[in-house]
Amino acid sequence: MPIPTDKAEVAGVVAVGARQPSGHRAGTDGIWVFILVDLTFFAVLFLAFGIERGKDPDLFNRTSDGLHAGLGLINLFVLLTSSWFAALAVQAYRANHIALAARLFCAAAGCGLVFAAVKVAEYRLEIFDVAAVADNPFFTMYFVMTGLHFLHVLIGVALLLGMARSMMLRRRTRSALRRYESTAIYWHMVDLLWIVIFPTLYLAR
Amino acid sequence: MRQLLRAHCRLTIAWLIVAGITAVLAVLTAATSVPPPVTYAILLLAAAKVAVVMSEFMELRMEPKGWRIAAAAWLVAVSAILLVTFT
Repeated sequence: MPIPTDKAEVAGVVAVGARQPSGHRAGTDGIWVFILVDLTFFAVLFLAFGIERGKDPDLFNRTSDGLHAGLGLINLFVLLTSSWFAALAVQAYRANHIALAARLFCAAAGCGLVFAAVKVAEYRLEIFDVAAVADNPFFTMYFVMTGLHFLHVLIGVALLLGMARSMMLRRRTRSALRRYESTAIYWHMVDLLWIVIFPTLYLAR
Repeated sequence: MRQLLRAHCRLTIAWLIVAGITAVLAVLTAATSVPPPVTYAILLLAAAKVAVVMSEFMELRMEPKGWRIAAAAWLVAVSAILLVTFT
């Protein structure tokens, strides 16, 4: 079945099937521009990390050994699952299962909050010696990269919860679908950034 | 929910693949010292996971060619940076 036409949108009529017709694009050009700019910014951070590491690889390896890789791995699973929920939420909305879509966005946001809680606990374990942290270039890169990512997580959680509320309150339209798709795409970007940050900071030697 | 999962099993398969790769990653890094070949494997597995997330979750495969090329270029560039970093 087709996605809602503009006429259907005006009339508030919902006429969608479980699947989008071929040729449908998720999100907008605007969100893709934002995603690529953000990803490019993080690519520059990875480059800066590489340059800093090149100056003293032993220090970077030693410091990285002290991180809590288990917590980072748990967070990786949490964000992957969260991303799966967000992708399912978009499909549920397209199939006109609005309440289910809202619940799935809430579940994705819940995973985001779990990520944040684990990350805060990890930060508390790491900042036991402020002087050692302040003088270590590894930790400078670590806190810049994970801190910015953490900020993205918090923004994502707020967006997901806001969109879940909007799903329940607003009429189902094409532009609303675009907003939810764009929110999900943003959340997937948060997930994929952690997929790269985690092995770079915690595992690779 | 069951109906949704059945209709979109592709998403669930993608999630199982990335979770499976992550489990492999956990096994690879269980040893205290990670030798260079394992580091390369870890970084390449991460790149594979990113490719799956972009294609399946972000539905990049449905986007115009320009966006797909830009995303692929980002992934190749970041992978190259990291591989050089740990060489």
